[in-house]
Amino acid sequence: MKTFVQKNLKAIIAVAVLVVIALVLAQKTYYALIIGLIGIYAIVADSLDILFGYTGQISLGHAGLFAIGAYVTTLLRMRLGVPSLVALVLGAIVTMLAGFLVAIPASKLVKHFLSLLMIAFGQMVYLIVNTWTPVTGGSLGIGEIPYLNVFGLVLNSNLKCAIFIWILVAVCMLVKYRIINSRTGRAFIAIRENPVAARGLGIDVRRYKIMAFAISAFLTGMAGGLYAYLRGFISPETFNGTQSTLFMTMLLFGGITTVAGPVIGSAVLLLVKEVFQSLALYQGLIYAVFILIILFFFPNGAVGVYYNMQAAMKKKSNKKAEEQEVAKNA
Amino acid sequence: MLKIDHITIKFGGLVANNDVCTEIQKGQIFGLIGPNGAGKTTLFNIVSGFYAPTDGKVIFNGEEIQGLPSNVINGKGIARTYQNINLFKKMTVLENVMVGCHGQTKANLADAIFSTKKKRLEEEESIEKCHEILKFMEIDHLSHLKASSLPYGAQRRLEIARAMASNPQLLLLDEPAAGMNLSEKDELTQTILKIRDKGYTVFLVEHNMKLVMRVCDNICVLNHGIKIAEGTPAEIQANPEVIAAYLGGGK
Ligand SMILES: Nc1ncnc2c1ncn2[C@@H]1O[C@H](COP(=O)(O)OP(=O)(O)OP(=O)(O)O)[C@@H](O)[C@H]1O
Ligand SMILES: [Mg+2]
Repeated sequence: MKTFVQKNLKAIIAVAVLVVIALVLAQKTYYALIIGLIGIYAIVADSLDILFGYTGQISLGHAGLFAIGAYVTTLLRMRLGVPSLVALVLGAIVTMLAGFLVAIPASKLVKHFLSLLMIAFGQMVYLIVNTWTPVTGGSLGIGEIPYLNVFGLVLNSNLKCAIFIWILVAVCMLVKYRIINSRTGRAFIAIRENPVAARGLGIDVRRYKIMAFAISAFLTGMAGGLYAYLRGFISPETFNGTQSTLFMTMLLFGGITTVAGPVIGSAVLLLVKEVFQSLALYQGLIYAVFILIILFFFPNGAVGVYYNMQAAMKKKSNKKAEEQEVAKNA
Repeated sequence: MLKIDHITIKFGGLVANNDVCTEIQKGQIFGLIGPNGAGKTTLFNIVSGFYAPTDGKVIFNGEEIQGLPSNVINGKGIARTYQNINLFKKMTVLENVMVGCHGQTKANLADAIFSTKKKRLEEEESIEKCHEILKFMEIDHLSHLKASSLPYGAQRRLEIARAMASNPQLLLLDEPAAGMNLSEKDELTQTILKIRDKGYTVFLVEHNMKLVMRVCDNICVLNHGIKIAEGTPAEIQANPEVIAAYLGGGK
């Protein structure tokens, strides 16, 4: 335990400082909302990381899964009176089943065919929530979603809800870390790196692709449910194709296959989105610009930039030390 | 142990393997040679489940396995390496070999998420076993490096190590010496003999005749998908049809 603290001292201090800043800011209910949303999108970006970053399966339809989580949770809570936390878990499970169903055909596809299928899936969910008015409220959406009640504790403010969300973010990070560093995670990475060799070593490639889809869908569905509770209102516009692009951009910007990447990507892109809210029409364009910047300048995302800087500094200090050494000897 | 029974495979009009029959005994090093495009890799692909033959049977330990998916065939005890190296490039050397343990280990998703004792013990055992295999293949000192950063010869050795981690009875090696220099080839010759002595049966495709003649107990020769000869190294070297195939085949 001691070594863990020592090894990650810098990271721990950074996290502690960020938590304090966040708690101070979150006294204002609007900031608390933003902080909560960052956590929700971080969970989605983490779930995409498992699917895309590690297993190599692209999805531009995660807004569809996000929608299923949000709507199923809300409807269970409001129409059937299911307790709020149970509704959240069931929403995630139903989303996982949906992910499982799309994964069965999706796991047979590669690259661009998979992208097309996932875009179509997202579009289909969007159309259903938009037109199935008696159940989903159609384009008007559903409002006055009751607060989340966690074992008797009613999360009746954005701040309380945001704290709960961030606890789940931490749990998701731990779960992701554990999955990746296991036999299952190695199977995922092997499939991304070389599906032929993976199969030759006894990995049931299709089964693991479906598993990655299901895990990713579960987490995204849970994030959707949290979104419904945090906002207290959901409507189809939150779940359109642009949202799927936003999720993917967050992951790519933050950096795939990293711990901090999804959180950083989520925070930066959400802040950009808020700042440019008046330019809502051009949001797609803004994400496109972000993706281009990433592709051209930081192929490893923001976290990659940090590592590059660290490596460069090390080189510099090594050089300095060498020069001093030379000077001494001279 | 392995019986290849009248195997034929066609790609459109091309007959890549034509009615090939042969049998490999347990504990042998069995060579498969032939000019470029003779159909050697194709036969490996059939035995390891990447291609389903158009006709014929592959019988492994008395069981028909032709057409089964390759992951299932691996589970039955056949592992292979690839002519054009197929490593998990961004994984470390150790991780590559650990992927090879996949079929031998049991920890599932729940074990991973809850980091159960079973998972942690299994993980430790796998790491230990993989280091042993890497030591055996003499690349353990590179275990922490990215697979893509290894020199060519070490990559070929890693392919063998990874295949061994899946505990096969039969090991298919597709041109393991390709791209190696002379001393590396000599070392590999020793290693292949060592692998056989460890109890593995080896099915070997190789263009380097010195290596093949040195290690193989039996050799089968393919030309244009057809088996033209089979026998001991001495018999093969003296076979006029084989000599003709090699001279005419432009190798
Ligand atoms: N999937 C495929 N589709 C079509 N043709 C194929 C396929 N796989 C192999 N072939 C053809 O089958 C023939 C045999 O190829 P194979 O790779 O088995 O030869 P080889 O004996 O391994 O040759 P080399 O010594 O060059 O590796 C070649 O003509 C090749 O083009
Ligand atoms: Mg070949």
